[in-house]
Amino acid sequence: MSKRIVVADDDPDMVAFMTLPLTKRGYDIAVGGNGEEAIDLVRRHRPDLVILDVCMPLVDGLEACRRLKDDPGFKDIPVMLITATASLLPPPHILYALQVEDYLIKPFPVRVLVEKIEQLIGETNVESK
Amino acid sequence: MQTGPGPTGEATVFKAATRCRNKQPRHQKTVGWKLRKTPQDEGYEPIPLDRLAVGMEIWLDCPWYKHPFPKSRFTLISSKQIELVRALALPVVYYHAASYRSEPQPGLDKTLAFLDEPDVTPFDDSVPSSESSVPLHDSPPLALRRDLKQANTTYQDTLRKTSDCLRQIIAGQGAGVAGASALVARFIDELLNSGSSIAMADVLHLNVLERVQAAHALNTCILALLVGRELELDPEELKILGFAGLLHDLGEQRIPSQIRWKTEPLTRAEKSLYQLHPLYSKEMLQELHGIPNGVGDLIGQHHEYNNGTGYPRRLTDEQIHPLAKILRVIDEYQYLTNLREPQVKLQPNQALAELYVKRQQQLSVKAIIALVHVVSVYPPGTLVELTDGSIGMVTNTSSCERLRPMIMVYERSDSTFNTRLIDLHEQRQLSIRRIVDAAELSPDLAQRITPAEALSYLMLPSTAGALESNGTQQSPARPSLKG
Repeated sequence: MSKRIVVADDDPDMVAFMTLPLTKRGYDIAVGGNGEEAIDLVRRHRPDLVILDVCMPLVDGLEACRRLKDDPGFKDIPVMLITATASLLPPPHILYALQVEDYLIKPFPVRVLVEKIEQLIGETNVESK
Repeated sequence: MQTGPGPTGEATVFKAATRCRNKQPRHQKTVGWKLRKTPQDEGYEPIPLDRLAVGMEIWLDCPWYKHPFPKSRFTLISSKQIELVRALALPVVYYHAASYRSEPQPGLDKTLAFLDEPDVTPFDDSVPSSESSVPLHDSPPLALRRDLKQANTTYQDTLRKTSDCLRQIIAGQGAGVAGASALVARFIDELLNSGSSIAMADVLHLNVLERVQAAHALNTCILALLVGRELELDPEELKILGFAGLLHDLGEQRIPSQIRWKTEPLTRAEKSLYQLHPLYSKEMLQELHGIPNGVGDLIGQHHEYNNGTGYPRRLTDEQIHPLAKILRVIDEYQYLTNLREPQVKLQPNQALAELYVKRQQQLSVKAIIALVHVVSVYPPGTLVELTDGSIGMVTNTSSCERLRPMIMVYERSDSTFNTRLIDLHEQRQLSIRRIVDAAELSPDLAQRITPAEALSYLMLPSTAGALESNGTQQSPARPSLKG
């Protein structure tokens, strides 16, 4: 069974940049445009990984991350936050409390995205080989 | 190299010789060693064999395999060595007239008498231990002790200023930037105008957390500037590098202390958060005025590796700023020599070997070679055994006489240890026999001798000047970053 990833970003170009190579590698991707949609997708699909952009409308990535980590049913699902600068992140002690598994700093090449995903949820998706 | 007889052995030798021939020009180009000098070039004069005397620094102008001594240039320390030299029947032997005093040297024959014992040969390592032998070294000259005392005072003062600057910058105060700017300007001025060497300041009691961090910042700044000078950077590049060295870990202050000082392995989330500290450092500087352009970018990249395995962006070789590569090498060197666990902490020379042998995929080889030039054969902090069996730590090194640094020798006295400073540049009859592993030391000596918190470096312009004026060994030319 393919590994499932929920990706939430309000920038369609960024979504395409991330999902195309991941789909090609056999990952099952569900895409949301904000934090609220990401949480719904997590409830429905129970993914292996959640990738959240920090800056999104309505419910941003940090709030979505906090809600997921507060929910005993989802707190063990690894979360990766995407940000362009450190200034967009909350103070480190808040990140420490949230136990965010990893961060992606924009701009990043596909290589880095894939490496980090493989480290977080295991080796390269077997079904894609 | 071992080779067997017959065709196989000959082929191996031939290949090795070919390799050497092929490598030599590249080596010369990279490191810039000069062509071999003659004894006369170095101030040596011919001397009749019957006038050889103990204390003379001589030069045997023949291939190394034609004499039994470890080096062709050495100081005669016994009458037996004189007999051996005479037995070589060389057409001419040279001596260093300027450094030899013809008048008798009181006590020298007596103190060196054990070397004439029948079982001691030039290659024999069984020189009596410090307990059984008469110490070869006298108290250091007053000027040297005064220099070292002054150096330590200067270091403590500079450390305090560094600590103040960092605290002010963390608090967002512009005065901290002005202070950092003054420090960097002073270092660059000393570097470019006085040909500084480096010394290790006494930091055995540096146990205040904030000062450990300030010491790391100061050490990184000093070593980075020295490496930058080796690589012939221009003053503006040195300024950026110096600033970046001083401020590179500011962002660590924002990382929760539970992570920074955790002794168990970090969790994935903790490690990822820690790896954001270069970004936090960069961000903190963006809020301040007076930081030279480029410093922030440099700091943001100071944990990136050439092979794309660094952090926070996993940049690759061509994406990383050349100055950030220097900073990475210095930071890595300090990390290896200051690991918290004593059993994995490396001695300075071991750290250099680790960088050069195992880390070439990750780090700039040019920067590593330049660092080796700067910290020399026996980097400050290296534990060594001298030819009289005493144990000490290298405290000061000069680019002019790499094999003869200053040593702080520890001598047992009842339940404690007395320290004694020896300048091997002056004490020609002594030399370093070998590097000692910290594990070989007795527990009480190990506790006394190994730096508890950090190796701290200081530039010593005055000592460097003195060594340069008297130095007998040529400093290799500097490698260049360009080309």
